[in-house]
Amino acid sequence: MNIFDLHTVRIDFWECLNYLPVTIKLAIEAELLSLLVGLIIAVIQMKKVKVLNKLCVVYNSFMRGTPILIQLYVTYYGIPIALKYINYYYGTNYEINGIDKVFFAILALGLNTASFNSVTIRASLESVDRGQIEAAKSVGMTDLQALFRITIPEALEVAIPTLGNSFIGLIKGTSLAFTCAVVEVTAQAKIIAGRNYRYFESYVAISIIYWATTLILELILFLIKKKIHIPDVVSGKEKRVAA
Amino acid sequence: MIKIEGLSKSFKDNVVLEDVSFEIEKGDVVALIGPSGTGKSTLLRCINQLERPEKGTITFDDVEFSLSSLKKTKDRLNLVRRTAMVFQQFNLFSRKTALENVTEALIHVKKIEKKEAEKIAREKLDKVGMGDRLYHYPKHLSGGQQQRVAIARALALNPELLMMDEPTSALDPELVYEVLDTIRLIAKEGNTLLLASHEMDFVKKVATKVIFLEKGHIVEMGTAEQIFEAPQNYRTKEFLAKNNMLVGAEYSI
Repeated sequence: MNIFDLHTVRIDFWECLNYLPVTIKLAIEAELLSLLVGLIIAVIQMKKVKVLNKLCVVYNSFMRGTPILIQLYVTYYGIPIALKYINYYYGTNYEINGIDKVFFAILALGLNTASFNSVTIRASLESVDRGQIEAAKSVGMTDLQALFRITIPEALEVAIPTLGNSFIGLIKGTSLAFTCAVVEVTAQAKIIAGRNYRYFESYVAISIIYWATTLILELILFLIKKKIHIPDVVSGKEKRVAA
Repeated sequence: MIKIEGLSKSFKDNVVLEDVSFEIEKGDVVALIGPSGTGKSTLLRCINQLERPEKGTITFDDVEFSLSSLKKTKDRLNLVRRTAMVFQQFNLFSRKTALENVTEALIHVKKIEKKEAEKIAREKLDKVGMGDRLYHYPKHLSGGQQQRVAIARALALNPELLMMDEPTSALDPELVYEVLDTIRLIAKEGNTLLLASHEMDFVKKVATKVIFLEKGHIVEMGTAEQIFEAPQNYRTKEFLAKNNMLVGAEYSI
């Protein structure tokens, strides 16, 4: 028996790679949830909506003040209890086993990231020149149209690098989803290692998987950033059309 | 006819406009003049609902809108969509080309089909002399060019009242004239304009009606000849003299 078995690493790598789609799907869904909730929190705080504003402060403070691992446990054990109460008081019959385990992980990871993203979103929305928002209103747009058509596209350029980083953090955060009994890359590595006691090898294998995923993501982010930036000099297309 | 009545606005204790009333006939070019900080911009912004005054109404022909208490979004939009605004700092949408700046509201507010909207936009941009810069982004245009695109954007909405808030104050001196020429052109075409301006020569030549505003009150109001040739109020005379608009010996500082 070798001290470090490269062959096992290779086998584990391919086996765990099968679960990469689960990890990515989980991260994307949690990210979408976090963007939605983060946007809502940001808008509430910018508009200083009564009561809700205070609630958001408490929410953000809780999400930053407790470990994500504990939040996952609270969600995983808390929701079934909440459901039991709802069933008891309202005479409903929601089946706890009917809920996909992934749902718990998406909820916990999404709500946690939302609190961090809300700050990014708020800062980037506030960075948008007021004049453009006034112009949008002066041409007759509704507040929502001005937000989605003018403010958000403008804010995106500021927000994308930070939101991208938080998404990369989220990818790595999904490795805690095993606490909700979701089998993704990390959980599969644990399962394999539990079988052959080659813990080190399987963790080396998934380290490579996470690293490669993150590298690819960083490349994609770089390309997006380049794509949405309006060049500082007049582009060839503008000149050609002008001529 | 557009009637503004009893417009009052204050920021906390600072009274900016007090009981301002005046009328604009269709095709009028009404110029607001007066020292800085007298509420010219605030007046325009109240009409456009960017500020909410405490009191005041605006009447388009026979439709009256309260400026102070348009609770429902629908009523507010209904008022705002009768007007258009050209800002001192241009305020073009920086992520959109000149053409898109103009089509944006046509497509998403007026719900005009994209092809038709682009046709209107090209026409208006041609009119302001920007027909050869359709695909330029604002950051690739000079101040004067940006302001002309902003004028095209406002014009394309076909507003009943086109407001301009010191449209040339942020421009380099040599760029002022291209914008003033554009404004003169659209004034000649019968658009109803309400503009705040420090360009006295221009106001004198183009405005059909001049309102001298000071400390939130209308001090004097009349045709351009009345105000510039024979001002009645002492303060109007003083203001015009300081702007080198009063020739002759009747007043000297």
